[in-house]
Amino acid sequence: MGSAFIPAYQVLAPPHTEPGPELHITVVFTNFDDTKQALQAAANLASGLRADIDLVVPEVVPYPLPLVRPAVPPGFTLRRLMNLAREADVQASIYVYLCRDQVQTLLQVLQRQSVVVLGRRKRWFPTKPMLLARALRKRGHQVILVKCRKNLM
Amino acid sequence: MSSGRILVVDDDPQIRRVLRTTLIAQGYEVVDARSGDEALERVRSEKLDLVILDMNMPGMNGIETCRSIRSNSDIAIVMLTVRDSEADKVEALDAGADDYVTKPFGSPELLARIRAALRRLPQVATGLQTVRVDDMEINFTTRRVTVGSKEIRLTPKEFDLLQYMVSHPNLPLPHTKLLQSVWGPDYGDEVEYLRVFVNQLRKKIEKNPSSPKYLITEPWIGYRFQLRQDSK
Repeated sequence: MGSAFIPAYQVLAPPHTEPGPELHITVVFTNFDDTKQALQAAANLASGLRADIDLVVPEVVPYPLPLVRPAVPPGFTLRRLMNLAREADVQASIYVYLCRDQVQTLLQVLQRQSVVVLGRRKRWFPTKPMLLARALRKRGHQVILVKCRKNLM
Repeated sequence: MSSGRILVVDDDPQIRRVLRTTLIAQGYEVVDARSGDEALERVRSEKLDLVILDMNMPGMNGIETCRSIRSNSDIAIVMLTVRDSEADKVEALDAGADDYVTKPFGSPELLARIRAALRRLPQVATGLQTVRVDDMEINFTTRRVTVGSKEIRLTPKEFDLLQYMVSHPNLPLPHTKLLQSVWGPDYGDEVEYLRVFVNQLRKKIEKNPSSPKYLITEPWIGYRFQLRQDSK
């Protein structure tokens, strides 16, 4: 059974003047600092591949709340994400999904054999992005874990 | 079309000027650098066929520069020096130089040594070859790839990667070597980037990307371009 999710918002990047992209690189939102670095890594990768970048945000709504009413208004989240893409200097299409389970939602919304970029911190224990990467790889997606540095500013 | 792109590294502006004039007259494209550091920067950022390197330079000397270039590149290197002892020649050749010319030298000798060094380069690196494998044709001069009668659109990076692999056929190429040769010496750990590019290339040139015939994975090492012995 597929987990419930709602596509809340999407902001599409401006269309290409050249023939359409050959690949979509999906950056999955983890947190603002790491996602910014993941977006920059994705842009670096995309420049050599004629690829588009999609920023996918599976926002988990806890069970006490109805799925359509997340704790943080989606409009506010979207504005922060647009600022994030601007700060990273990346033209990305943004997709926000309201869901109960992040992994299940990603497995449903990602295309087959997607290239996924995730920011991660170096830790001795398996972190959330690492577990997510493992789940996505099991389903045949190609996951790039970007080592992120702590933002000292 | 130029006969090759040559970097002249010498701290003496007069020698740089003379070499530039001589080489341009022979149809070479010439760029120059005044120091070892500048030369390394040029090698890193530009596509070159040969380096003419002075052995005695202030700061980073010719031998150190030669070693640094050789650690990241297969480019031809000809050393220039006023010293002609056997030990100096051995040191230069051991540092990775392909040839050694003692000052003062005549232009015909230097040009002959440049031609010889360029001849020894893999043909693909000089951009003159077309490779045909089954129904695939890769033209390194026009940077076009056709499969059957269909032209395949490759991005510049994809083409560079394919070119490097085709120029080292049937050899296992480690991830680090591929990354540094195609992306530059600052790369080496980005194995996942390489995987994405190889997958994209497979989708474009292989009939069955999930069971590739040309771009073969060498487990735990890197990739190999499989070229049949009868392919040209």
